[in-house]
Amino acid sequence: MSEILNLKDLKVYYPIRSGFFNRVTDNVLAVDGVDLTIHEGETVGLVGESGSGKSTIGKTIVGLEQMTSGQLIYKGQDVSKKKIRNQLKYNKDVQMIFQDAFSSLNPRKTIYDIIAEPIRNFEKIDANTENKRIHELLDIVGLPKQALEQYPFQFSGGQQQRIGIARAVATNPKLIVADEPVSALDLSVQAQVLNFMKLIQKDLGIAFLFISHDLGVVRHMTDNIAVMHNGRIVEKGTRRDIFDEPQHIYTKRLLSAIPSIDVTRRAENRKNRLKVEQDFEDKKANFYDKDGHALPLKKLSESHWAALPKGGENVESNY
Amino acid sequence: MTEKKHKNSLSLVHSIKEELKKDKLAMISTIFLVAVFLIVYIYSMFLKQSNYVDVNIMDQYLAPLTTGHLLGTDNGGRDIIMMLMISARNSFNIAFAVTLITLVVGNILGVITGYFGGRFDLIFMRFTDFVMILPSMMIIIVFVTIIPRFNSWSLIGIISIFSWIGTTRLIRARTMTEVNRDYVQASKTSGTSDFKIMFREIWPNLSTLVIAEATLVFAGNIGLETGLSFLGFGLPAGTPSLGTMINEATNPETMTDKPWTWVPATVVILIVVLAIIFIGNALRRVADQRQATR
Repeated sequence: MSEILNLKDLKVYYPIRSGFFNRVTDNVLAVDGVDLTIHEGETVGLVGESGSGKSTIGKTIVGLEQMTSGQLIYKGQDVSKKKIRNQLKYNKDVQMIFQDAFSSLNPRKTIYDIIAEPIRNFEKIDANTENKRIHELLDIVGLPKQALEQYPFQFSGGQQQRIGIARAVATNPKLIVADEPVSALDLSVQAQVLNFMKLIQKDLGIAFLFISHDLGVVRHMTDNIAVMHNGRIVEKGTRRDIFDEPQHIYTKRLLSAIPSIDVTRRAENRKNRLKVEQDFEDKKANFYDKDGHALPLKKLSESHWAALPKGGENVESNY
Repeated sequence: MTEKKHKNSLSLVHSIKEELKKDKLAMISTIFLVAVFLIVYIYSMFLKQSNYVDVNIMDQYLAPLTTGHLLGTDNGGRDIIMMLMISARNSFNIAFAVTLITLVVGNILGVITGYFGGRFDLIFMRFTDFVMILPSMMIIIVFVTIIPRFNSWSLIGIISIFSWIGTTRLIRARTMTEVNRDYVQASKTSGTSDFKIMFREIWPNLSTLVIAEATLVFAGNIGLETGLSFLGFGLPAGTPSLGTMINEATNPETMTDKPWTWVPATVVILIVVLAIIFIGNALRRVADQRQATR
């Protein structure tokens, strides 16, 4: 597994302007020094609460947000600049699936034109081949032929998201950034879309950056997971590292928040949750610096990293 | 391809039809307006310039219903109905042309400035603010008087200088809300150029709004042109306008004793502009619905 995308010390700041001359007086640190590696064909999960900067990372990777500093290395080349990205046809290989499927489809275009858009831009192929390719894609996402002449509003949410996926895989990308692709769908449709994403991953060998706040979904989908809080990664590792041996208090807090339908142990679960929450409040000062930023990551094993305080491992290991 | 286009326009036409069915006033206005335009343009096709320029002093100020003049004659002895037709055509033509220029310029500038935003938008909007606070009526009058070879084209140009701003601002505002929609972002990641995103992706989504805006701008321009002609700074001599017909009322004697010379023109303006505004409001509601349901 060779790495295809590497984020090095990525920072995205949004300026806060104020005063008479509208000068930049402060910055919102949406993403503050993130390192992340994505290998070919794997699924990396990016989890965290709202506003933790996970969507900003996704948008920066596909080039919808400007990075303030840092490097975005794609197949050994720095693609931080838009010019270089355009030269390399970077977006042919790195595509995105959006959270709100309906809003991501132009209401005035037919499904055919929507799916054809990236193909027309990135691949110089004649109308016949294009037509064949689009029918192929429609087969892959399991929609009927007559869908091509229809408009987005004529489809259900799950179908709309599958159209979004068809567009994303149209140019045979290497990496797809999926920004909460199922959070707007109801549960039965979620499973359908997720399994379908897994299927095309297996068939086409696509790597996913799976951005989500739903840990159940992340557990189902991903190989490696990075947990974000306030613009920094607080813990990253394999699925097993994160779910079975969480080290950071924030990760533990997130995991305890997964709802459980085990009614007989309701009281016990609740007690457990409260304990973790209390733990988080107590140890907050240890795990975050005085500005509320997470500490630098520490290597715990070959795959597992966490932002622990000095000597923090010992404090935490008995938990 | 043709079938696709057909379907696409059908949904827009369909929702407009539905709205007109609900709004009887707008429905009647539409039928009325279409009739007026047909009559005016077909009638005036058969007129020669000598018909409405030549003066026949013998027939001056004939009262209505005398010797074949249903609405009487004006101070040049010309039939009022004929004058109404030719004047209405001239006024409508000016309003059409100004509306067309306004919409083209307003749409292009509005979409561009709304799409790019940022510093360009800031500077450009301050420029439109500046043009907006200029006393446009006075400046138009000054231009009309100082331009050497004044004709209806120069009048169209002069009015257009000030009329594009409202449309530009409206289109800009709507473009700014469209830009944040995910389909624009998706187009960006699909490698579509900015120009294509602006006019092939975003603009079709504004089309209902543009139609509604067009009708209201058209009504406004009829008012502006007739106002200028009334003051004597509108269409040049030899090109009658509804405004020049109403200008008869500035003479106290005609105003009180010969109302048939100026009342018909005022009635035409009143009814036509009202009808257009009723239709425009119905279209505006369609535009709002289509925005809300997406």
